[in-house]
This record gives sequence, C-alpha cells and structure tokens, in this order.
Amino acid sequence: MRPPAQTTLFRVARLPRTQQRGRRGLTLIELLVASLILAVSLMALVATWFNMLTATIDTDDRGAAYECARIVLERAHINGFTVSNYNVNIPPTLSQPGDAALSVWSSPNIARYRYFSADLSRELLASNADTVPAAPADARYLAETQVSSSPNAPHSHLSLMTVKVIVSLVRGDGSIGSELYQMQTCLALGGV
Amino acid sequence: MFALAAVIIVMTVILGMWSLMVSHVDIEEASRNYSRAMQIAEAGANWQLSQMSRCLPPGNPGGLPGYVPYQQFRAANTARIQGDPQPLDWRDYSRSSDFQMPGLVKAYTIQAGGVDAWAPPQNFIIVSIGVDPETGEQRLVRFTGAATGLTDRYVLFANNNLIFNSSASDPNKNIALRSGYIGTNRSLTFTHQIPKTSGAGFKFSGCRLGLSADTQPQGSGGWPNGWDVLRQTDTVFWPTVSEVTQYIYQGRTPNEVGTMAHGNEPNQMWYRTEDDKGNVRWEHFTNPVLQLGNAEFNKSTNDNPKSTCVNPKTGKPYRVLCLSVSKTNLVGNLFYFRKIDMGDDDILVLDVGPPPDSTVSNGPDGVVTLRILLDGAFGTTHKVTNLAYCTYGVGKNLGRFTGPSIIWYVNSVPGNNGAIAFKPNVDVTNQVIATFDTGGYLFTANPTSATVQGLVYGGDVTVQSNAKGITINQIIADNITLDATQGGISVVQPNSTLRPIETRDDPYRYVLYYRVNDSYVEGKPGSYESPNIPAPQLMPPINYGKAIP
Repeated sequence: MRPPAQTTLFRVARLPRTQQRGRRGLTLIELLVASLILAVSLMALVATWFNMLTATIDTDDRGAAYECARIVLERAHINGFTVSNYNVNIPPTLSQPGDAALSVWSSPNIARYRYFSADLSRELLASNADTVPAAPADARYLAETQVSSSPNAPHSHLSLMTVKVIVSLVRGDGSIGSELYQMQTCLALGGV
Repeated sequence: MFALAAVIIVMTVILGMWSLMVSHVDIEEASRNYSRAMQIAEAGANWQLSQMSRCLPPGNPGGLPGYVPYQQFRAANTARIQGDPQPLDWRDYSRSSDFQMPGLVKAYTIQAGGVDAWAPPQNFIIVSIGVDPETGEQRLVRFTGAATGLTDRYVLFANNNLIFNSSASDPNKNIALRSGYIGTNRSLTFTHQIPKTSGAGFKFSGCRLGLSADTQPQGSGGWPNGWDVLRQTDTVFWPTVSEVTQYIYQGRTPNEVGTMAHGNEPNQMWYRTEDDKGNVRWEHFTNPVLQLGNAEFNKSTNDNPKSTCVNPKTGKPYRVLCLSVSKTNLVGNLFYFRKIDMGDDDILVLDVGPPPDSTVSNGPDGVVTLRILLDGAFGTTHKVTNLAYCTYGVGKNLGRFTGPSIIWYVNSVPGNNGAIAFKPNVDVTNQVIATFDTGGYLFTANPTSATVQGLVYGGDVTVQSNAKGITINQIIADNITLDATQGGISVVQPNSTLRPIETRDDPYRYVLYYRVNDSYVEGKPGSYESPNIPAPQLMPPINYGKAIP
C-alpha cells in the first residue's frame, strides 16, 4: 500500500526535528494565565454589561417616572381650582358615577394613588383609598398625589393649589420599591 | 500576545460602551435637572400670579378677607426684584406645614411695557427663575399676561337659571346667539324653540356648564344640535355686587358708595325741555338725584304742540333724561340709584362720551365707562323701558357711537335679589329723539331698535322684547330670562378690541383673576430678565389711581 501523497499540510506536520525544536509552544501556565485574563476581562465585560443594563433600566425608570409625574400633574392642572376641602390626606373625588346630574366629563382628575404600566400607556388603577391599594398585574409605577390649597384666599377660585406627586417603582412581586421621582408645583387659575 | 491583544480590544470596547452609557445617563440626568428647574420656575410664576390676583387696586386700604393692599404687594415684589432666589413662602398658602417646595425661586412682576411699576389692573410681565435643589441648575421663564374682568368670559351667564322663552312657531320671535359663550351654574331652560346659533353673522362659541348644571328639558335629544357644550370641572365663580364695590371703591358697600361725596354728580344728569316755539334746551339737575321715577322725568317738559319728540305709539311727548360721563369724575362715573321706575314714554339717554371741548380743535376723544349701581330695598324690581345712545358721530365723537361702555350693577342678596326688567316701549326704528349740540359738536341719540348696551351684572334680569326686536350685549346675573315671544332678541358680544366695555387700564375695573397669555419664553437667567430696564425704574412711586375724598 502506497503512502498518501504529501500535501502541503502534511509536509508542515513533518518538519525536520531541528525546525520543530526551534519553535517553542505554549506552556500550560501560559494558557492558564491567558485564560484567566480572558475570563477576568469577560467577567468585567459581563459585569459592565450588567451594570449598563441596570443603569439603563434605572435611567429609563427615572425618565418614565418624570413623565408619569407630569401626566399626573397635568391632570391635576385641568382639574380646576375651586374645589373645596382639599387636604393632603383626603383628596377629593370629583366624579359621582351614579349621579345622573353630573356629566361624563367630570372625571376624577385628582386621585391619591395611580398605577401605571411600564410604557405609561395604561393607567391600571386609580384610588382614593387611605392606604396604598394592592398593585395590579403589570403595574410598573405608582404615583401618589398630595394636594393642598390656600385657606386664606378671597374666594376659592383664587386659592393657590399645591400639588406634590411622588412616583415609586413597583417590583415584579407587586411590592413598592424605591422612590424614583418627586415633583412639586403650585397651580393658580390662569397660570401655566 | 493574542490574549493580551484580545484583552486590550475587549477593554477598549468596554470603555467605549461605559463612556457611552455614562454620557447617556448624564444627558438624562441633565434633562431631568433642567426640567426640574423649569418646573420650579413655573411654580414660582403661578405663585406670583396668585399673589397678584389677591392684590387690591392702589388706594384700597385693605381689610377685605384674603386680599392684600397694593402697598404690601409692591414692597414684597420690589424686595424680590432686588433679592436672590429663595424658598417660596407657603405660610399663607398651604394647610400642610410639611408641604415645602424644594429648590429656590425668584419671581416678580413688572408692567407690560417694562418701564414702570405694575399695578392692578394693568397688563404685566412675570419673570420667574427656578433653581434646582440638587444641582443648582437655573432656568428662567417669562411671560406676559392680563387681567380677566367681568366681561371677558361670557355673553350670558346665570348663577341659577338661564331661561330662553320663544314663540311656539314664529321663527322671528326667538333668541339669536350671535357671539360669545353662554353658561350657567344650575339650569339652562328652553321653551319652544332652541335659540338660533348659526347663519350669516353668527359666531356663537358654545355653552359652558358649571359642575352641577343641566339643561331643561332633558331626555329629548340631549344638547342642542351643533352646540359646543362642555361641563366645567367646578362651579363658575362670580362676586356679588357688594364685593365688586368693596374691591373698586376702597372697601365701601353699595350703600356706602351711594352716600359718599361726589356720587351722582348733578352736573352729569340732564333733562330735556322744549318750549312752545320748539326751542330745545338741556339743563342739568342742581342736587344729587338718587332715584329715577315720575318726579324726575317730569322735569323733562315739552310745550311744543308740533314737537317731533313724541312717542308715535302713545301720541305723548317723550320725557327724556340723560346721564353723561366726565373724565374728571372722581368715582369712575358711577351713578347710584335706589330705584328706577320708567314709564312707557320715558327715555333714558346714556352718553359715554365726555362733553365736547370747544377749546380743542377736534374735541375730546375716547369713551369713558358709565356705571349705574342699583341698590335700594332688596327684592325691588327696577323697571327700565327705553334706552337711547348716540348713534351718529363724526371724527373723534365716533367714540360715542361705537362705545358700549356701560355697566349696570344690580345689588342683591341670596334669596332676595334685586331685579331689573328691560321692556322697551318705543318700537320705532331710527327715530331721532334727542339732539345735543354743545360746543359746536353735533351728535344724536335715538333708540333704534331697542338695545341694552354693555354689561348687566347681578340680581335677576328680565329682558322682554317688543315687535321690533331687541339687542343685548352681555348679562351675568343670578337669574336671566330672555322673553322673545313678542319679538326677536339678539345677543351680540361687543368687539373686545374695538369696543371694550372696560378698557384694560380702567382703574375701576374689577379683576376676577390675572392670566398668562401666549407670550412665553424660557432660558437661562439674564437672557430675558428685565430687558433694557434700569433697576431703579422698576418700582417707582405709585402714580396710578385716584384717591376718593
């Protein structure tokens, strides 16, 4: 049986001993060190990626929390300025769904607690309960609104309303996480 | 080497990504800080706006609950102009002691022209600088604004009942809403026809209902077709006539206004006489007159058997009185009456132009607001039949012709309202009933088709038309009844630019509140702050308004 024809590769594999002896291979130590460096850098890469992901999510959450606070604040803004009995602890209910004399345009523009979805496209729950209601499924943000008005204005329509909106994160298990953003302002009839 | 190169490459990529992410976070953070500073600046502007709305006109010593005298506002405003940003003062504004706005604010007001102190009810500029509490980032907002008066929002508004009565079948005997908004806090009622709101010359804006208001009858098609109807989120507020006088006249109630010095200047109250040769004279009363009834109209005599100043409907001569304005009147040309009771042949001429001055080549220009305060026993119905105005003018006297600057205040208390009924008897179109020729300037007054010019404010107001129809401008009252069963009633809002009922700088104007308008800029402090205004000129001594003796 004839030996196979010598290809280039085969020739390289069969270099003269003198040439093979002149080229030093990688030692096990070197391989281990290189692997270690590579592993550490990959770990750093993963950690960095993870941190970046966390920071991005956190930034997105804070950005969304700001938008969420603006949404709630704007709704308070269009509410009007003469509803009496505003109190930090007992926000008013403007709508009475069972009252036919009130039109459908009367909506509860100020509710103490509101849950929003992650993309803010849906308001999942609005409540004027004394305590924080349980978070509905898919809730990502909780906005708490506190309202107060001046007791000394000449007329209720000239009251200066103070509004505070606190937006918190809702965890996956429905528990309330850290406070993301807090926005306070005062509103006046005819103002911005 | 390969591993080292790979590590370097990987680390470079990581560094780049990290840098990118940090930049992204920084941008987001800066954006939020910017927004927070803007938010604080806007809050400060609203706070300042609220301060302004609670500021009394110059000269009013205060004492009205919730209001602050102008001097007090001015001193605080000046201090803010000269001071640094500081926390907003919430002590008077919040029931909650722990409600504190984070950040600092510097908010102040200057006159719209930017060259003088601001005082009610002038147009204004508010400048507000907000300082972010975390980073110290500062942003400025600056916008212009103006007062909202009694005439700026509605042509018809009833606190309680707004009633439209029309003929059951005649389309000409109906209400025509030709411009502006109407509204009510309680009930809007139609009998027979729905008021007309469309067609040539119609620019009806719509109907606005208070939170608890409704329309009657209900259930038959809901709102009128084509109407823009919105319900407000709350009851629309209107001050009582007593509150208005206390605001304008330095804390005086209607009765106190009526008895104060210089009220009802007799030289601004005229009666017409015509002798047997047809010579017409206008003479003014010599003593203040506090009611307009038979005795007062009897001063207007007509001995000319061929007189044309005769009511063709009754064949009797008209009895004509005239109230005129003066630019030097100390109480804003306010006439106070305890009772008005006019007969079918009586005409009350309301002249809103000051008397011509023969020493001036073209006479005085402009229009002065004429105010009529109806007081007396609550529940009294003041009866007004025929009103006349200048309907012809030349040159600067055109102001007399185009100016509907008249306000009727009808004092009332809840449950026992004062009332006024407008029921014209003259039904001749364009009959000249009074000609004034003073100082070489000719102007004429006639009833045309009867018109209630200007604003009727307060009490219960009834307007009953005659066969020729009637036009009204604006009515804001507790109860309004428009009766068009005898002839059409047109509701036409005066052109607010060309023919304002109250000018924006009228010191006797009642301000409901101040509002911002569209002129709004934002930026960094210094960029739009008090442009071209030397600091000492920002708050000069008060030179606005008149002291009432």
